Order: sequence, then structure tokens, then C-alpha cells
Amino acid sequence: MGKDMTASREFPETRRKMLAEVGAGFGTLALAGMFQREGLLAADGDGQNLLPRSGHRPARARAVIQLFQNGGPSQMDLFDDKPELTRQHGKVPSQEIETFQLDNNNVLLKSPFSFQHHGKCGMHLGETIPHISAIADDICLVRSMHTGHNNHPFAINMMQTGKTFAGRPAMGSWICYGLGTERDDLPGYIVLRDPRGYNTSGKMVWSSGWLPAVFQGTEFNSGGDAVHHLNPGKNVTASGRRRALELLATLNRRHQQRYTRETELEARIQNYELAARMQLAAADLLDVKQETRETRSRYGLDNPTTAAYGLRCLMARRLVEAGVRFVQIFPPVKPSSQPWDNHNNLPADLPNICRQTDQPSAALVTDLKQRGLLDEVIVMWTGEFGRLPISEAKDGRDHNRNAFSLWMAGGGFRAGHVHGGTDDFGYAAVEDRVSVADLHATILQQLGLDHRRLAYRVAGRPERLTDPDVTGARVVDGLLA
Amino acid sequence: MCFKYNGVMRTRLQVVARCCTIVMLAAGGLFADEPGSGKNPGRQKKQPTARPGRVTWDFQQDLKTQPGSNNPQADLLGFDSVWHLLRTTRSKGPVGTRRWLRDGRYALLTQRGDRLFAAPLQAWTFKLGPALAPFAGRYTAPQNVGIHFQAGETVIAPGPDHAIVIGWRSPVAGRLEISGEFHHAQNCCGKNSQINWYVERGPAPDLEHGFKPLSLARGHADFGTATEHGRFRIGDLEVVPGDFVYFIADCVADGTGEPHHGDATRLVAKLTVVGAKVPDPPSYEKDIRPLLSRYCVDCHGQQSREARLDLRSLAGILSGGESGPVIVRRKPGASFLVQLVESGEMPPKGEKKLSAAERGVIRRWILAGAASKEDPGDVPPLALVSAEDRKHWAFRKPVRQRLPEVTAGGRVRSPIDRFLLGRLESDGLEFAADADRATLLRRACLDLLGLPPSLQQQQAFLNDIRPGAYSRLLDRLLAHPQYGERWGRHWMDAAGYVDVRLFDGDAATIYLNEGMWQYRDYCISAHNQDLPWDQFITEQLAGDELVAWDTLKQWTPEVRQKLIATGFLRNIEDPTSEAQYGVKERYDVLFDLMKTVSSSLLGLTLECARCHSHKYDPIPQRDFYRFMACFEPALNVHSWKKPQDRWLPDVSATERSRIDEHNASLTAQTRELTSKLKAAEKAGKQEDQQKTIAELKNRIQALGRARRSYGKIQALWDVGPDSPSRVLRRGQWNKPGAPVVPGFLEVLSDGPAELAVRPDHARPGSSGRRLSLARWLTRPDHPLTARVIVNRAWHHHFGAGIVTTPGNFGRNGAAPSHPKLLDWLAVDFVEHGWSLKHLHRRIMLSTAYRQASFRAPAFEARAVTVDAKNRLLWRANLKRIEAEAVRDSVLAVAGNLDPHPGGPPVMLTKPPSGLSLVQPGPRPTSRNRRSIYLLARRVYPLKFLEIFDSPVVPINCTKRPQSATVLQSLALLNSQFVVDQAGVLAERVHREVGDNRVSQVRRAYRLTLAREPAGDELSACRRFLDDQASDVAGNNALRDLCQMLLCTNEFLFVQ
Repeated sequence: MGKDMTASREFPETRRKMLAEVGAGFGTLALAGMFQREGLLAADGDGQNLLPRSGHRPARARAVIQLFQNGGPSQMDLFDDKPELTRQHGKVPSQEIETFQLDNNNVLLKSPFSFQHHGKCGMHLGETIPHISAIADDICLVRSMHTGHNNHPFAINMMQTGKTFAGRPAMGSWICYGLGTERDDLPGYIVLRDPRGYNTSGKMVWSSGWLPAVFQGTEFNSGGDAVHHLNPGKNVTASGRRRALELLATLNRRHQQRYTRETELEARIQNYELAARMQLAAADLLDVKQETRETRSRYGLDNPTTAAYGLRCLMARRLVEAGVRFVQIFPPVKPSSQPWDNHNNLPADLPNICRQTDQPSAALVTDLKQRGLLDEVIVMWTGEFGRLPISEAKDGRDHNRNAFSLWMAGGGFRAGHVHGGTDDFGYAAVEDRVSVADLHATILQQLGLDHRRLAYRVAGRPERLTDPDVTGARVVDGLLA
Repeated sequence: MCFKYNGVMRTRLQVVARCCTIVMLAAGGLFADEPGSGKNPGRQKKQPTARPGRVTWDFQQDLKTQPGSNNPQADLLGFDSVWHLLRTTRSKGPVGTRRWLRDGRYALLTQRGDRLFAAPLQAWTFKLGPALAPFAGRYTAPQNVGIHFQAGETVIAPGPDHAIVIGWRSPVAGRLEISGEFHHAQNCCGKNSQINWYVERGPAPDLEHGFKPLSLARGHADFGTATEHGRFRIGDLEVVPGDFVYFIADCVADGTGEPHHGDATRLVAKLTVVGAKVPDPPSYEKDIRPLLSRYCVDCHGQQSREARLDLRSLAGILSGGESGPVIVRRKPGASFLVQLVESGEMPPKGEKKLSAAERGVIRRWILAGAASKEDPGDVPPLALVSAEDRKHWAFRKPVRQRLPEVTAGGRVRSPIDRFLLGRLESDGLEFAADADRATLLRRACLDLLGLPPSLQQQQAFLNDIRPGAYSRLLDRLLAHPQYGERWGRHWMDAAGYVDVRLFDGDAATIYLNEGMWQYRDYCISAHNQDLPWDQFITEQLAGDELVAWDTLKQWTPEVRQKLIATGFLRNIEDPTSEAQYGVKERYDVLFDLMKTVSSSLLGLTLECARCHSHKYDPIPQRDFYRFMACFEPALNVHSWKKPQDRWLPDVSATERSRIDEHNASLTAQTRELTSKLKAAEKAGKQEDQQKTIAELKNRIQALGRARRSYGKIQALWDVGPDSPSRVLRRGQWNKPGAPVVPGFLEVLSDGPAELAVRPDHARPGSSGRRLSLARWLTRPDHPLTARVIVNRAWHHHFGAGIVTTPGNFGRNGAAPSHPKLLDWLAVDFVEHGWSLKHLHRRIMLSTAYRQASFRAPAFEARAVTVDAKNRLLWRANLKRIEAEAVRDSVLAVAGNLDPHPGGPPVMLTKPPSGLSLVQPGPRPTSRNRRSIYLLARRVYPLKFLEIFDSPVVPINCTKRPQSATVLQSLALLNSQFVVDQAGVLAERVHREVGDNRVSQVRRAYRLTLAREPAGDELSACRRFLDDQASDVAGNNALRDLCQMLLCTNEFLFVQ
């Protein structure tokens, strides 16, 4: 379809005008016809844009916030209570355990934390996440996830791009490729990370791979300039800048007269307008002072432990509220770039990272719900894999690709529901197993995209996020309301 | 094939010769029928005579550990050797008391160490650490570690949580006697532990699932006991070829103390086979054919020939299938058939499997030479590439094409124009008018130098009104040293050039690959010298094989250059400097290298054939591994050099030791003077002491100045002994399949695939495989090499290649818009000495290149209906200048560019925000050097460059993406870099033309856009200056004007 699209793409005078003409916003049918002809399938090299479009089917949700939890959160200490593990604490496991590190002890390690039932649904959750526990009735907990690798970079690739190796487009890129974005003054895919540094694999995690670069994640800084180079220097006056931009537009328009069909020239002219708009929009969006004190306090902005992560969560809400398609939040980079990687000292380190992220994560869901946005926004809380039931070093757990837990909220996911289960020790998902590809397929469906049809041609092969021919990906109806 | 079988035979004979410390009492003739004695084993009919023999293997003499020896395990369980060294990787229990598990996974000992703490030894281990445990080997000098070792005695050490296994595989049948002792009494490290030892027999080891042998003898030595002799004597065991005996030691602590390092345990053992004979092998007719019909031929037979394999006849077995031959005579371990059957992979899931006895029959049959009454002798391997496969345009040799006739002959300046115009005319189109001279000048300068024309260049060209001015301009530009900085960078994209080691995944950390910059400078200078492209390729692939650098006493600059050139093969991400990475990651380095080499030089996606035969191109999986085998002597997974050790000093070994000696003597003198100085300082403050002190300090400083040094070259050269190369089944490192010989792609060869084993290319210490590869690639009629580079040059000159997928000329790449032109250019290029500068001249002197980039609207409206993307070139393309050209142009027009060439990279800051900047360098203007000299990072290049699409290179880049993101607009509007340079530009304009606003606008246009402003532009800019000056302070109005000119599309594009 890419060829159709490129051939028929006529730039309206401005994108804003075009949006006005086609009726911007959620659920428009702008350009939809072309996409539905053969599924989304563009050839490599063909440019694509961010104009909003609907997918293959009616959408249940329009945006995603991914709360990524680098390191591999320990399912048996957070989400998946295992009484048998407690009973057999200290014993050698009866099954072979696939380990990653060399200092595992091959004896079972019980969780040092207690579990309680929460909400009307009675979800059984660990004591270190009291705030998430309080929204048990709003989340869909998946206990039967499994993935393809038990080391971080590969498993991160898997969760973000569908395959263990590097170089493929991130899920957020696929979604923007499929749906475009609703704002003409903001990127469609925005990344919010700890301003102190990058998490594991850094910006490769939000790369658009071989999809056009326009779909890659754009970093917004939560602190200082929201975007690199967003603000003019101090000695640039508003009127001076406006006059300069008018001159620039004059010169560029004159130059463009000879090249009316060069869409890139037009895009660049418009980008200067977008840059100016973005400066205003971003400044406005990131000004969380506009929020009530109560809201800010709910996200933990008044508490130094939660303030940084809380700010990212609050910014994410403001961004999706404004129409951004995909927002990706990363956890703190201290004490390490993968704070959930509790190879040792788990009894102290796990509560520590929970304290920083639990309250803001829950606040985001509650806030979206109160604003009536939870219906159309998917919140996804996930790491890259889980941890082992045996002890490593003194009191830690090694990587586990055979089972991990995650939760989803909003966007038509079944609230107050627990899906699937693991064996007696939480080592392997055994009941209603969900693969990463299944999860991706399900999320795409909620956004109105058919994972089998959302494709892009690379070196002659139609590539898909879920690669269903290889992975056997399927939509998991059990996760849906 | 004959060669191969002979090779196998020789190897086998050597094994036997090496391993038998023969007691040839009655063994004369025992191996008389062994391969090597007969000229054609395939036709060998006579079975070995069963005469009584007595053969002995003695650990002390037979276990190979010295430098240069292959780990006996290196054939990855191919069983072509008698010895096998392994360790387990799985153990259980708390750290203090863990035990190794029999059914765990096993790993090979792949590293050779030569020192345990201070003790000299030769040992195989799996990882080189200070303690070297676990390992198996021998001390090379007497050692007292609680037990007294004599030089040469075999020592094994299991380490704290491993078992060490020494396997012995019987090559003969007979009655086996084993005797020896484990001797353990070490008491120097750790406490509360014991060594267990075992002698066992059983089936072949299985790396994945372990094995369950039968115990023959066992015992243990508690720690701290004075001496403990674990003597064993086992007699009269029946063995057949392929039976294994294992000597195992593991170590257990009782948990009350710290676990200890592996204890050195002496192992003395002798294995004697009495009445040794090679038994009558199974018969093909009686044993093998029925077996294969029962289990295999349903799928690999008449009805269905899965994997193009027919197992109904010996001929079919020998010719093999898609993955190559399925058996290797006399090498059951190396035989694909045996591997598949023994791993349980075949028959497939759900089908009945062969019993152990049946598997043994196959193994013994192959071991004995796979003979049969119907033996067809040497069967040529299955042709995997058909005549049809060879028809794809890119796989055929380029031929000089006849020039087409055209109507508008007046527009033809070059043969190139005939091809293009011929095609245009057939579609009713024509070239555009020539671009005006100012446009052409700017285009030529940006194309060749990556910089807009300076005022001097503009004057020189625009004032030269004699005929041939443009040709003279090209001469000047091609001779300019900045040409290499532009075109060298293009090649560095294809090479995936980086200054860093490892993945570069952490923005805040830089692992500098010291001296890598010499390769960057080599690329620049090769382009400036117009080094013939065939030589350029050859040096990069095999510079080290062209000169005897390792024996030369003095290196000429040419020697140095050839070694630096191999840096091409060192741009690959190599994580193996970190301890947890092993053989898998070593193969990953090879796979990435294959991708870089094939996409940059062959324009093929060879990597697709790593796991299975290529889906689109006729590249069997076998050819991928043949090609890869060319690199394996250098990137030898069995004798690996870590990336931090793959450098050479940039002087010869002789010079290096001279420098080292010189420096050592300076160090000694300095030490002496320093102690004197200390004494003098202690002595007090008398005046004469002060004088002495000052004098001593002076002398110490002088010594410091007299030190000499040498630089580093990041190079690639053959290391260690050759190891057999194999197909890796499904591309997995631990699933070795059929062996392959180094060679090239069959589809690009005239007959069957050519081999890379050319004795005349080898020299002592170097296999010559890469040189053979380079010679093959640079044959004048190679179907791809010249086409690929010619197309890449075309891509940079016209904005799109004749093939728009420069890294993929395969069936799935784009078809060439002008196949005949591509052929003509390729042939012309080779005929003109592979000269890139000749190619530039050819292209740039054509009318096609000199056209204007715009057409009248009516013509354009018609043309786009025929050719919307301008593939036919009815006008020049607008091209956005690359990231480096954007930054360099901004600096150049401001008059701020530091043209200093070469040397170590200019470093970048690495702030957590990711907004990296150029660091201040040794000179005040270092920050303003050309972008090619900035630190090249794999993932985090300079932010400004990254914003303008400088490539992120997990591997390499054959075509840059070109994005138009808002981040680019923001960087041009608000980055400190552009704002600062606009200010400098404004100062320059003001300095050069004063306060007159018309002059200012005209000068600013000249500098930035290399032309005069039109009337309306001039008035718009003047008005802007007037209005802006009333609003903003100082000279900022002019600065704003300059900055907006830098923001224009015209500045960012070549038109």
C-alpha cells in the first residue's frame, strides 16, 4: 500500500488545514481506505507520515502508556504467591532450573514478603506494592508470560520489538506507523526516561529499525528542556524570532516554487512551524504546575522518593490526553540501569525500587480513570522477563525466561482479572501461557490493528511486529473484557 | 572431492601416528589398511586384517597441550581425535557444598593457558582467569604444590564447581587394560574439601544432555591428608572402535569453609589395547541399506526428497543434500547423518528412532570407510545451484555494452548520456537544460569535497571563461585533500567504521579502540591517492597476507599501511572481552563480519543463508559457511583472541623490542636517580643539596623526554592453528554439521564453487584464505564487485543508485534502472585501473550530471506520469547534504573550519541528557575540525550529526536514511553550535564588507549559497535587517539573517 500512499500523497497547504478538513481526532477515517485495501503494507524506501488514520477494525483504545520496568521484576515476590515455594524453602528443586549466572545455589528461596488479597476481585499481591494493590480491581494481571531469552538486552529486544535480536522497530514505532498521531505539534511516540541516564540498551529500545525514521521514539526530557534544542537562547526575543521565521518562510517558499513536487521541502517548511508550535505545546504540556496540588501529590511529586518517576507518569498522562499515541516511561537508572535486577540483596533492593515506582504507577491508572481516559488508553506495566525460584548469591534471584508477570489496565483489558498461572514454584508458566507475540497481537487488536496485516516490506519479505508465521502469535481473548 | 577425502585420510593417519606411543610388538601392519596407504579409499574393498597387536596410549606423552596444538576437543565432538577435554557447566547445592551433575550440560575446554599463578604449565581451560581453573594440562617445570610435579606430568584441576572430564575414544577393537593413579595432596588453597575421582566407560559424550557411563573405579582424597594415591588397574575390557573411557575429577567442599580453587591433581594413566584390530565393518548391503530404508527413505527417497536428499543408494548418500554431503568417510563424528541421528533430530519428532546399537552400526560403517559392493567411488556433490539460478542479472559477468543511438545527439557529452538519453527518448522525455555555472560549481564542490565553494573557488571558476573550465575545476577538486575526507567517509559507512569497542550501549561510557583512527586515515589517504579499488579491497581483506610483517626487521610505510588496512575487518562489535561470553559470541562476530563484507563488497544479503539456504538468492547454507571459513583462521573460535589483544604495535617486533629495551633502561636509570633524589631530599636543605636536587630532577625529566613509544594498529591476522570449518545447523554455534572447505559462492563461479585453498596465497603463519578471497573478488570480470562500487558512486552523485538498494543486488533487491549502463560503467571502471577518480570524471562530465534540477511545470507534469521518481534522470535530483556536510558547511561558511587532517579522534562529551558536544581539543580550533575526525561511536554519535541521520551502526550502513524531522529544524534554530557559528559568520560578513546592508546581504548569500541574491530576496533581507535591528541588540540582526540562511532548504540541499 505504501506505493499507493506515496503516489497519492498531496500535501495540503498545512497539516493543520488538512486535519481540519478531514476532521482530526480519534476515530477519523482519514486515509483509511488506502490502508484497508491490502492491510498495511509498505515497501522499504517509501516514506510514510504521521497523519492520523484508523486501523483495520474498530478500535477499543487510541493510545498506550508503557511503564517499562528494566531488570526483570520478581514475580514470586510481587504478583505470584507460591506457598509451595515457602514450604520447600532451602530444598533442592526437583526439576532442572535454567540459570544465567554462575553463582546460583540450586536451592529454593521463599519470598521474604507477605501476600494479601485485594479489591473486590481478591487479587493476591505482595506487600511491597500497596498502591498497585489498591487498584487491583482496575488491572488485568497476567501471571503466565514467557519470553525468548534470559539475558537483558535480548529479552528487552523481544518485549519491545518482538524478536530477541537488535535492529527491528519498536512496538511504539509499529503503532505510529499503523495509526499516525492526532497532534500536529507533538511527535507520535514519546519517551520519558530518567534524566540521569539511559537504561539498558539505551535509545536502541525506541528505534524505528527499518521503518521510516519519522516513527522512532522522540525523547522528551522530564526536567530542563523537554526536547533538545526546544528553546531559543536567552537573547532571542519572541518578536525577533517570529520575524526571522517569517523571513525564512519567505526564502523557502520562493525556493520551493521550482520544486512543487518535492514533499520533503514542504515538510521542512512545516517543521519550522511545528518547531515553534512544539515549543509552546511542550512547554504547556510539561508545566505540571497546572495540575492541582492534589493531583501532584497523588503522583508523589511532593515526596523526593517518588517525585522523579511520578513526574514522568504525570507527563505521560498529559501527553496521551493531548493525543500522543505512544508514551514509554523508563524506571530510575540508579542504583543500576536495570533497577529490578535483584541478583542479590533482594529483601532490601526490591522494596526500594517499589517505593519509587509503586505509587506513581497506580496514580496514573486512577487519574486516567477519573478523567474518563482509561477506556481509551492502555497502560502496560512490564519488565523483560522474570526471576528464578532458587537463590542466587546470598539472597537474590537469577533471570527467568520461562515465567514472568505483568499487568495491563484500561483499553478494554479485563479489569480485576488474573490470567494464567505458573507451576508450584513460579519457575515456568504452565496455565494459559501468553507469549510476548501474543501480548503484542492483543494490544494491536485493541488499537484497531490486525497484527497479521500490519506489515512492512523489508528485503522482499513482509515483516510484522508479531511475525505470526514463525511465532504463532494470536490474540488472547481471555485478557479482554 | 578427492582432495577432501585425502585430507581427511591424512588427518586420521596423523592422529593414529601421534597417539600411539606404540608398542609395536606385533602391530606391524595393524594399520596397513588405514587410509593413506591406499590411493582411493572409496574403492577400498579389502577389510583390515585382524592380526594381534598391542597399542598403548600414555597420558604423559600423548595428551596435547603445547602451543600450536589443537585442543583435542576442537573438532566439536567430531570424534576425529582420541582425546576429548570437557567440563560440566551445571552443579547444584549451596556454594560451599555443590556437586556437579552428570546430566548437566558439558562444555569444551577451548582456551589454552600457559601459567597458573606463577607456575608455568600448558593447559586447556574454558576461561582464562588468574586461577585458570578448571583445567587439564601439564606443568612444564617441576612444581611443588603439596605434591611434587615433575616437568611434563599431567595435571587436572576441577575448580570449585566443575568436573573435568578427559575422554579417550578407542580407535580399535580389542581387550583394554587401564592402569594409573590420581594423586592428590595439595594443601595450599581452600579448606574442607575433597577431590573425587572416577574412571568410567560409556557412550560418546553429549554436550547437551551429558552421559551416563559405567563406573570402573572411583575414589576420593580428603583435603589435607598427607598423600593419597588413587591407584586403579582395570583389565580385560572388551572395546570396539568408538567406545569411550573417561577420567573424571570433581571437587566438593563440606560447606564449613570457603570453597577452594580447583586442586591440582596428578593423573598418570596408561591405556593398552591388546589384540588391537579394526574389526570387520558392517556391510552396506547387509546392515546399512535395510536400516536406512526402514528409518529414512520415506522422506529422503523416491517419493519425497526432502532437503534434496536421496538415501536409497550409496551414490545418493555420498552426494548429499542441501546441507552438503551427509557422510564423511572415516569420520563418523563429522558426518551429518550421524550427528542428526545421534542428537535425536532425525528421524523427526514422533517417528521411531534408531536404537543405540543401530546408531553404532552406522558409526562403525562410516569409520571403516563407508564401503559397499556397489561403491560408486567419489561422487561429485549435489549441484546446489542450477543454470536457471545463474540467470539473475547480477550473477552474470558484466559485458561491455554497445552504445545506443539517440536523436538528440547534441546533448551527448559522454557514453553515459547515450544510455540515459536513449531510455528517456523511448519514453518521450529528454534531459533538462544545463544547470547554471554557480549551481554546477556548488554541486561539484559539495559532491566531491562535502563543502560549499569558498569565495576563492567561486572566483577561480566563474572567472575562467576559457573552454574546459569545468574539466579543470574537476581536476582541482579531485586533487584537493578534502576529497578523501568526503569519499573516505562514504566508504566508512559501508565498512561500519567506529572508534569504539563493544556495543557502545551505554551513552556515558566510551571504550576507545585505540589506534583505530589509523584505519580512518588510511581510507582518506587511499581515496586521495586514488588507490586502485581492487588493491584497496585486497589490502583491507588481506593486507597482512601480502607482506611478511611478522618476520620483517624493519617496516616500511607500505607494510604499516597494509596492516592498518585490515582495520576494515575490525569494525565489528566484539563483546568477547567480557568473561561471560564464549563460543556463541565468537560466532556472532563472524556472522556480523559476513554481513558487513557481503553487503559492502558483494551487494548481497549473505547473512540470510546462515540458518538455512537463502530464501531468495541461490546461496546454499553451505556457501555461507564456505565463505565464512575464509575468515576463520583469523577469527578462530577455537583459538580466540580477545578484541583488546587484536592490536599490533605500529613498528616491527625488532623495533618494538629495541624501544622496549631502551625504555627499560631509562626506567632503571630513573629508578636509580629517584632513589638518589629521595636521599638528597632527606639529607636536608643545604645549598649544595638544593643544587643536587635540582640537577637530579633535571636528569629525571630528561630521561622522561628520551622515552620512545609506538602506536597501536587495530588489525586482523591469522591466529592459532587451523580448525576445521563446519556448517552450523540452523546457524547455531553448538550444532556443528557437515565440514566445509573455504571457498566462494557457487552462483558466482563458473563451475562448482571454487575453493579458497591456494597454496600460492599462503605464507608461513597465514593461511592465505583471505588473500584468495580478495583475488577472487577483484577479478576483472567478477559479476558484483565493480558493479557494486560503481553503483555506490552513482548513488552519491545522483542521489539514487542505478540499483536503489546498494547493499542488495540479489533477486530481492531493486532491479537496475539502466542495466546496460551499469555494465558499461563497471567494465569501463575496471579497464581504467579501478580508478575512482576516473569514474568521478566520467560521471561528472556527462550531460546527465550537469542538468538543472528543475523543469517547466508542463514538462514536469507529463514526466511524472511516466517516471514519478525520476529514475530516468530527466532532471538532476535535489539531494539533502549528509550530516557531516551540514556541520562542516556551517563551519566552513563561517570561516571557522579547522582543516587539520588525521590523527586520534576529537572526543565528544557524554552527558546523561544525551546531548553530546564536541570536546575542546589540544588546539583552540580542534572543536571545529571536520566531522570525519570526531569520535565515531556505534550508537551515540555527536547529537547534531545523529539528528541529521548519521548512521547508528550496530553493523554497517550501505544507504543512509534521510529523515526530515522537527528535531533538525530545532537544532538549526536553537542549538548553540548553529547560533554560535551564525554569529561568527555575521562577524565575518561585517569584517569583510562593513555596514552597508546591501553588501552584507550579498556577501552572506555568496558565502552560504554561493550565488547572488535575486532582487526580491535582496529586498526581503534588507527589510528584515532594518526591522530586526530596531528590535534586537547589537549585531544580532545580521546574525539572525545569517542563521536563517543556514536554515534554508537551499543551504541543506544540493540542487
